[in-house]
Amino acid sequence: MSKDTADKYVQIIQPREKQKKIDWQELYRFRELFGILVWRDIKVKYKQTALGALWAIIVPFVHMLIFTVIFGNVAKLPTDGLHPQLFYYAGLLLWTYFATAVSISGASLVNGKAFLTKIYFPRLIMPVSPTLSALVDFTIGFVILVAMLFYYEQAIDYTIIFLPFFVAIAVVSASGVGMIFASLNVKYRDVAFALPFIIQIWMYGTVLVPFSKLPPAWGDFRYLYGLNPMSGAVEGFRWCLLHSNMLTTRMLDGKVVEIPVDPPLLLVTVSTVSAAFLLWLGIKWFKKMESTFADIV
Amino acid sequence: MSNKAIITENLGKRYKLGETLNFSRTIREAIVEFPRKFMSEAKRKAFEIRERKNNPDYDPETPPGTFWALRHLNLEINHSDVVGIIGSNGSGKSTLLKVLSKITIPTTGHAKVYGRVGSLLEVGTGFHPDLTGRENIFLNGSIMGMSKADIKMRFDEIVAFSEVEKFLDTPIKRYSSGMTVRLAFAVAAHLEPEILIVDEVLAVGDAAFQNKCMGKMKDVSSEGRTVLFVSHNMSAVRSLCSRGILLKNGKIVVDTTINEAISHYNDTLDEKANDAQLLWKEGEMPGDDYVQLIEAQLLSETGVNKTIFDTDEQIKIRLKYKSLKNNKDLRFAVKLSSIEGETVFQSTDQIFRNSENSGAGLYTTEVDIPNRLLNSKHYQISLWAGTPKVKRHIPEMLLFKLSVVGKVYNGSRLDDRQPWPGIVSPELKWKILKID
Ligand SMILES: Nc1ncnc2c1ncn2[C@@H]1O[C@H](COP(=O)(O)OP(=O)(O)OP(=O)(O)O)[C@@H](O)[C@H]1O
Ligand SMILES: [Mg+2]
Repeated sequence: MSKDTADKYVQIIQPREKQKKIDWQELYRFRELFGILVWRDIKVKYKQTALGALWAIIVPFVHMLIFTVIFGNVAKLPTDGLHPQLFYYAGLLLWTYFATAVSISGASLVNGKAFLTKIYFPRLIMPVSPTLSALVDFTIGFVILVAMLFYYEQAIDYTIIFLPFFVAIAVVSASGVGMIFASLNVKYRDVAFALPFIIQIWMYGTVLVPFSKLPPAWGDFRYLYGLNPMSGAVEGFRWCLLHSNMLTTRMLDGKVVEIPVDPPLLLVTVSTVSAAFLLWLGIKWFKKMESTFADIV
Repeated sequence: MSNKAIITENLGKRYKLGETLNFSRTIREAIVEFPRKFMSEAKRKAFEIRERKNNPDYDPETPPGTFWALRHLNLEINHSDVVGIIGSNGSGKSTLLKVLSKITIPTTGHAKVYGRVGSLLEVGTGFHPDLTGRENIFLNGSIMGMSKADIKMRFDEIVAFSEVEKFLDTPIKRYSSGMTVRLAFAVAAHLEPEILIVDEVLAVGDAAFQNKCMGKMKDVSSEGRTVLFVSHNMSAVRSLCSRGILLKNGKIVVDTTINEAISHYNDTLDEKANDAQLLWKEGEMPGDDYVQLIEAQLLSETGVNKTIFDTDEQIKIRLKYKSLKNNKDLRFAVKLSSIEGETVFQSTDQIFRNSENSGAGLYTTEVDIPNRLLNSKHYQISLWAGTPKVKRHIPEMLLFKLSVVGKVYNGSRLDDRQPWPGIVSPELKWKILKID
């Protein structure tokens, strides 16, 4: 210890009005803690559960079976010309990632009460780290998806290189939404009850209806569908894995014909902007509430 | 290059009283506060003057339902000062440490802190029961601000200090509470911040371990690091610190040598002890032509007058009275209530009065409130006396205000410094049976 290091770490402590920006330097200094919290989440999850990694597969897989039977076989909802199994599993896999990340993130501050009231570190770490640890489950589930691609003889195309981009949209949206719910949850525990319900409804709005089946009569208004950032992410995710077999219907000379889908460019653009907006809103909101967390949690 | 470690200027922290989630109050506040936001400076002044006329206690900085846990705090602490911060419950010690370690932000003023702060506000924060001792060392260490490399370097030292080598790969949910504390403190003790902030960590662990901790803290301070130490254990404070700051209601009472600060503190306690004995002169005694109260005392088991009790102590109430009539139905009753006025219980001595102790004469009647019953908070005791269906001799009157402090026997293994809610916190016996 020397006075030099002491001088390097001068900290000014003052009321909130004067400090609302993200302190990137500080976040960088705490990067190891960030890593450790991600590691802890993963480790604890696999220690506490008997089936461990299997859960990462069971949840989207069982959902997929239910969707296939009810919406594919019984209700006969269109699936872009794909095997319903593939169509639903791909969508549900990315969705399950988002749902898991948001619900853990949303509860992170309340669950981390002991941290909040006892120790200082950039609070932003708490809602963001679950969005990374949930990627482990996603990766495991993805292995099954690849197996399914082989099983259904679906060729993997060059478009797979875009896959990380669509996952990134999901990560960004999950962080933004997670931050908003996490900060609300500190004051209003109602969030804990509302969140699962919201996620459930959100799921149907995202994985069930492909963009191509929105009524063509809606014209460009259909792109508002992308305001749900997960719809662009899911649509893009399916497209980059399965596009060679994806079909859509079009009116041609008064007849309905099936043609290959276009890359969902515009939709994805809308969703990307929307995800970025949610992240911005999440950070802004979080920073606004941050100073009260330790006092009221 | 300055020699200052911490400078605070006009530091203040205002808290809300009561529940934060109260819609009707939030709305009411908004209605009152909202117009003020748009008032010009002059108008606001006029408003405040008018308000003050109606209500002499009006303070624009303390809206109703709020209070200052810290106020107008000006402090200068130099590098390698070892400062003891003392004061009664709720005097703002923990709040000060929380502000300085950035856990909560101040409402007014500012502080400058030169150097890294390591705080032991609660050892073992972030321990996860399902992780092993080894994993928890890394987790807890990085939460406390150590780098992975630091932890690796000190790992063996930490393990040796904690004396739990054998259980390193056992999840800590299988640890005894003592072992958990040892491990936690071992990690904390190997932090090397320039400024160490310690709040009440010595309340846990066995005596041997506490000595070890004290030794470690002495080492830390003799290495020339700055230490802020909060404790109710005066001998620990005295042996560790050279400077003492006494807080009361969020303000500094004295800032001087530790011995002077402690004796000041004891004086304020003595002052309170006087409140533990009420003596009435002839002619002023509460009562009537049946009975007259001469003296009321609040006592410890050992017979000392006091108003601050440990949760482990019994609280004795002793009343000395003159009975002027033979009256077997006479009853003295005491009521214990929280400082906010909620009744905890009432109790009377009536059924203990028989033909031998009910004639005219001089008596004492006393009662013990069992230990390990009350919560760590403030209470008040009031009294009345009467003969049912005949007459009330002494109308209800407030006798004492008392504070109960220390460990609460709520069954939790953690030594929660923030008491759990509840007017009382009795020690209850649980029974856990394996049925399958
Ligand atoms: N988050 C909070 N919200 C509202 N009031 C609070 C909060 N934290 C503390 N207080 C209040 O602030 C006052 C000062 O509390 P503080 O914890 O600083 O006391 P202390 O001196 O550490 O007492 P003790 O010796 O019991 O630890 C108390 O009246 C307490 O009830
Ligand atoms: Mg305290």
